[in-house]
Amino acid sequence: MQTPMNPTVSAPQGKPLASVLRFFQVFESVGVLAMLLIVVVAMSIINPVYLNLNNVVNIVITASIISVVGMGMTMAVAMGGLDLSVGSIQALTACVAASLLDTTNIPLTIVGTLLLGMLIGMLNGAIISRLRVPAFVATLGMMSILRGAALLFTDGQSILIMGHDDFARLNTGRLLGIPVPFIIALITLAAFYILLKHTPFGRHVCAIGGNENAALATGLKIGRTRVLVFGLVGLSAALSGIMLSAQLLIVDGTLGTGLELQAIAVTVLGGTSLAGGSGNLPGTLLGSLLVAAISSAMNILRVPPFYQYLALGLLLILALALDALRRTLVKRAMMGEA
Amino acid sequence: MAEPILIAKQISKQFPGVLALDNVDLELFPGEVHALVGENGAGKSTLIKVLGGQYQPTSGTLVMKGETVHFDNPMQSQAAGISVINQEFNLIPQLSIAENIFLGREIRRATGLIDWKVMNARAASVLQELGMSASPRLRVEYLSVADQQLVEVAKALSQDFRIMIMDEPTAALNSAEVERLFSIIASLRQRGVAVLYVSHRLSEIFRIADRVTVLRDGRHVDTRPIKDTTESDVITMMLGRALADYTVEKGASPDAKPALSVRDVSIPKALHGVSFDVHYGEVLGLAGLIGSGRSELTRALFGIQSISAGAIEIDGSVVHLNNPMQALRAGIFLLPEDRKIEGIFPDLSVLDNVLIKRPREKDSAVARQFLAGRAERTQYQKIRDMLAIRAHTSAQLISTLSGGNQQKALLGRALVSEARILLLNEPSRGVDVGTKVEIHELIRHLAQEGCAVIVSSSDVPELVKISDRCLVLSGGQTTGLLEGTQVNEDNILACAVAHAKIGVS
Amino acid sequence: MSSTMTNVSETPEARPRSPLYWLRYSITQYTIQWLLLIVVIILSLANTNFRQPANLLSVLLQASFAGIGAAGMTLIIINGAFDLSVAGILGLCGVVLGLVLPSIGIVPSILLALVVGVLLGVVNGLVVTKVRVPAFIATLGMMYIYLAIGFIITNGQVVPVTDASFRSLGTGNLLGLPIPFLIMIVTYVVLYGVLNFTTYGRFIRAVGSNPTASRVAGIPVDNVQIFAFALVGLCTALAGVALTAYLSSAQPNMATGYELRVIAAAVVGGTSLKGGQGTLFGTFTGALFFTVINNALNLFNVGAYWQYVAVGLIIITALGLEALRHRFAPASRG
Repeated sequence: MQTPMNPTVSAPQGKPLASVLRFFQVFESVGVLAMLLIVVVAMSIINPVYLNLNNVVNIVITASIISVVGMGMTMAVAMGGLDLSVGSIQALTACVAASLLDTTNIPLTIVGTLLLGMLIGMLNGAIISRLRVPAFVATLGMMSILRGAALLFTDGQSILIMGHDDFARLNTGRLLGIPVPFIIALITLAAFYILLKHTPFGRHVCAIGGNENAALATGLKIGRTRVLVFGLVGLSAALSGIMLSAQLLIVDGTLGTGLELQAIAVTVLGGTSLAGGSGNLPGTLLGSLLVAAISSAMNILRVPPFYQYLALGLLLILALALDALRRTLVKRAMMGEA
Repeated sequence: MAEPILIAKQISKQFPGVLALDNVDLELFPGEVHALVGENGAGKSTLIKVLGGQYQPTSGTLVMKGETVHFDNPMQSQAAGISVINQEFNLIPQLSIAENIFLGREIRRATGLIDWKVMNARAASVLQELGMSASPRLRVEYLSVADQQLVEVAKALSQDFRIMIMDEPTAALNSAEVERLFSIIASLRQRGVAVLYVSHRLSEIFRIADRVTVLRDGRHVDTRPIKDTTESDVITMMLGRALADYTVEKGASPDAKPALSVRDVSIPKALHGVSFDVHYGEVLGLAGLIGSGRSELTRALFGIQSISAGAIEIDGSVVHLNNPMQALRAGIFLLPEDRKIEGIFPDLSVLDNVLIKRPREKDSAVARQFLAGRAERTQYQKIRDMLAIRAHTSAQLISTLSGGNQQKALLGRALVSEARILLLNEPSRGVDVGTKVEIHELIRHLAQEGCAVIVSSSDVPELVKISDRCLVLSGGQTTGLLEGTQVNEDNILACAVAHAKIGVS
Repeated sequence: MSSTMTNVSETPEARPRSPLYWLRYSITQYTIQWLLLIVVIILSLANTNFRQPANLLSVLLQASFAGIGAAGMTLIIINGAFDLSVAGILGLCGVVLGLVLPSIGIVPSILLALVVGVLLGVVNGLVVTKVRVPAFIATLGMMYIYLAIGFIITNGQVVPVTDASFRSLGTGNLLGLPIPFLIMIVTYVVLYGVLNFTTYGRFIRAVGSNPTASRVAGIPVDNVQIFAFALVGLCTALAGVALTAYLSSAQPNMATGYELRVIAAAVVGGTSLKGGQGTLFGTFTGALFFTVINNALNLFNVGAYWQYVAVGLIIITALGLEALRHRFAPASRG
């Protein structure tokens, strides 16, 4: 490898590199699917319980809750940002949702909670674009503030969700035999996909992530786009908070610690590059399924829960290493021809 | 003749300490290709940035269609119909060609979603006009530089821009690509677009331009129809003869044996089999236009750029240079081309900047780990006095010094390094005339002390003043090795433009 | 900073300055120190409990746990990187220390904990430089790995520490000051020496200031960064030793949120996230400032959960002030 500082690195001619890049593009989508298949096949041989309907449904529900946040994170990463505060947003919104249920009806609870999440996210975005600070530090600060807010809101107590069977059906219900959380995940996927790939807004998100200076020179409204994207991250975290409270039926201010790691992991595993400029939303869903499948496998194999952190951490580093390799190749391709 | 589409009247741009543009006039007519030439630092890029809305002129006015216009930012300049195609493209690598062309002006259906069919079709038709066959759905990161440049042109065409400014558009193109660009420029001219073509390559200008404007030291020298002028006229106008004249004593007595030998060195797309020797005690000038392979060569000799063929020998034995550390150990020092990007540490003191990497072979393993406080201060003071670095204290941040003093501090590193082979890139770029003389004297002094010095510079008079011999590159090949009285501006320029047309193929 | 420099005449030492000049100079140069002084004075006047010597000593004690780690964090931020794994390193070092303490004695145990800290720092450095993963996300991943390893070796149990003389390291006083605070002072003095008087310290500042120029100047950039990460590991391990002694127990998650507190101390102390700029004195004051605020919140009976809010708000305010300073500073480099 040559030193990266070199603006005119000598590189092989464009053609072979382009094909290497295309290989990576294919790998992005196929790689995570292959890993998922390996885990599922291996587990079904080791312990057939793994493929029981109950267990599969559990995997799918866990994956759905992660993937919803992951979609939001994917948007942020496509824009060249990151949000470390999603876990705290999830905790706060889950607690708010649980307490709103007792005072209003379910639709109002859902709308109110989503709105709250969106506003918090937009505040993140405003801080980042107004103060011109790296997204990860600003959201690191917000992570602490919102965690405090969640604990203050519940006064450190747990909130039980009782007598709201319809709300619980958000988790246990089926539609055409498909678990409702998975349907929510699919709808989120479809909505975010259309937003990212087929609207000017989504294209501007990728433009900012791909080359911010060019986006600025083209006259795109970078500040507004950034605020909206972080608003969407907040919205998705709030949605996952609602789904989580429907699943647990008991919530407290400590929920969602480490969620930021999971969300970033499923995003990068799904093939979205930290370099920004593009987002692979279906890949994020697959990445979530992989993480949920691994975690379920470890449960069935009675691996102590701490090993799951280890696995997640290693998986993240691996995905990042592949991403780094890809970025190096892209850089060489771009500069070699320059 | 038609009305000019743009008139720049008496444009001046003052930067702290520098008058970059001094009452420059420029008129652009629809359907003309107008060349803008000048040496580095003549004010070309400042003028482009004023027209593109990146800089606001200190005084002077821009007039379009009879009305005075003001550009506070690039968007306003674009809205007025001016498109600037820089060497660094404003493209998003991860987006498709069509998305890039229509970025910020996406074609939507009633639902608010992007109408891909229409957008891709329109993009395809613009591409077709330019003779480009790529699918508009292709990601830009997969395109060659020449094709990316065409996407920039397509972007401008699709917005019906009336003025297109191209900054060194052929710097990274091969000859076939240059031909394609020229035919596109010809068709732009027919459509009534005004093209402001900025280039070092005079031969290109004489092929495609209608008129040429020459800038020198921020001033407008002349604007002439290309028919009524010759390459040597333009060169004379570019250089002027008003340069402060002083001579530096050369009188070198180089060693017979070469210090550094370069044997058939090639770098893909930049250098093709270049060979030469440098001897201790001499200054070898290295001349060549942008894209000649000059800067790649010095980088390769310092281990920053890898070579694909050939060999580098020091004192007769072959060395492999893979990084700057190895080069420094082999006794080579590089003064980087861009002081800000590759040179100074803005948050560090002058002393730290000068003594950043002292050779510590003599010290014990333990002593090497610590800064030698007093010894360092003494060494710094010696260098400061020798180079007349004007800093208040050794602890002053280097970023608070003037450009000339920053440059001297970087040259101080050469003295510290105890290297015997010095590669000096643009040693006097961006420094005032007085400092320039000091730097030139220092370079000669270093040669007399027995160093082998290579000075790579785009400042031709500078090379004439200080080089014993001068190697000229063009299109990655040696086009001249001038010695003694041959080392003069006319010869250097003649060699530098000699094969520029051939390009890389 | 730069604007005051350019106004200085040829020989600044020789020329007498007006007191007003020095006041202005010290306010721009030592903002956080002045701020701390003002806050302490106000609190002393407003609250009798605050100015009790016992309370002031407890502030120093509380400040030292984050303060010791913040010294290392300052170095890595000056180097242009970031370490989010410190909470994992601290927990793991504490656990290792607690486990080996009964069998090998105090000094070897502490040394082992410090070695573990350095090794984990080196691992971070290798992942960042050799795998080329952005520092903040690589260390986020490493944080969970260290946490998991800690849980695996303790099997999720708390490791009790019973050795009384070891515990006095965390709770005892020496020369009338809490021992952890003395450790903190020593850490800052040593790191100040490393940063300003050693070759690698200079390289750390250079790489943070301009990585490209560092490569051209022949600085071993990767090694410098690994060295800086190792120092973060060392400081964090030291904080782990003090905290384990103070708590009389260790567990892998004993320092959850630690990265926030040390980053806050560094950022409040004026360390720029862009790299190259920052002082250990600033971070030292930042750590104290931070603890004083928390202490005040306690004294005014503000709930513990507000401290999360306070940490986050202080970080974001500090970043905002930094941004303001850049916006209004005269464009010296433009």
